[in-house]
Amino acid sequence: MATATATAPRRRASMGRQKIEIRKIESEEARQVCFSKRRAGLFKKASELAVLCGAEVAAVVFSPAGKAFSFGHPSVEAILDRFVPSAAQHPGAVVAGAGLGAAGDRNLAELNRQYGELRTQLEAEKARKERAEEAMAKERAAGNQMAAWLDADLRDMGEEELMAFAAALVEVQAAVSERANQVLQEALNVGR
Amino acid sequence: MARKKVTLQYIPNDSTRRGTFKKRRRGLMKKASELAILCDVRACVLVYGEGETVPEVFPSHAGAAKILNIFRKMPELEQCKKMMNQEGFLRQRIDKLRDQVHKFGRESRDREIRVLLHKAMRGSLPGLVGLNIEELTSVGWKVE
Repeated sequence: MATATATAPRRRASMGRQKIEIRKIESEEARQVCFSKRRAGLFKKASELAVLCGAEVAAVVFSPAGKAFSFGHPSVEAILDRFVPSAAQHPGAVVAGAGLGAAGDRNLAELNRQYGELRTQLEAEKARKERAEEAMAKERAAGNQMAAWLDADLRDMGEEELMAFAAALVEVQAAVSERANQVLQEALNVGR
Repeated sequence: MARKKVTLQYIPNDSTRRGTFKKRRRGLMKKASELAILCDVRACVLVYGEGETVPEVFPSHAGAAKILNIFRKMPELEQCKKMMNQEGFLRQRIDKLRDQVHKFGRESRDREIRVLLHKAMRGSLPGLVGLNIEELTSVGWKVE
């Protein structure tokens, strides 16, 4: 019972935003996939809440198979102990709670900074790919025989065509290596 | 939803932070609820806001206590296997991002080289001037 909400015509990477009904997913496989994605998303949101608003957060979820996934800031154990003080102290708690204090905060701040930087970088790379795709589209539109060959499936081409294509490629390669040598020569000359 | 990029750091403005906290906390609880229903799994979320002694809890204090009880009863190894704190989580996401950046970089370069090859083949690059040595060698390889 999914109805697609309107999306910009350009988007086609995935199915985009779809409004779905909140009820148990029948297909076991789909349920598992959904779990993986949403679990990661939940932890991401929890993590952001902690950083942005200085909150202490913990999330514990069990997978359909019964595996336990947990996320906590500053640590799962610290939050759980706060909520339901446990009689027994788990030795694992120390490990999970490591990295606290001023040094820990600096570490986290640095990691967050790195994360932000990478996000910006990714956007830049995506934009670059987009531009490259557009350039390719333009080339295809402006193209002539040669360009059409590059895109075509070699198996569809006849023998004559293939030979002409091969010849053209050889020509280009020769021109390229000649020019490359030229450039190298010039660089060497300038170096002297 | 207003799609504004938010820097991942502590919000310095008190009222903005409080507002964001309330909104995001609500969103987090909603997401937990959706996860639990859609995937038919046990899930709980605890949120202690700054200076709060009483946490906001999903599904409820009693419900969460039950789930945490089950969690605690598990062997230590099972508990810790998929346990994460902020640092571990961030590192994981950073690694994923790096991989994505490289992947997109590769794909961009590939397409850029194809474009150059196209241009060269339809003769719109007389003498191949203007290409630096890197681009030339890449195009050469592509041909092979």
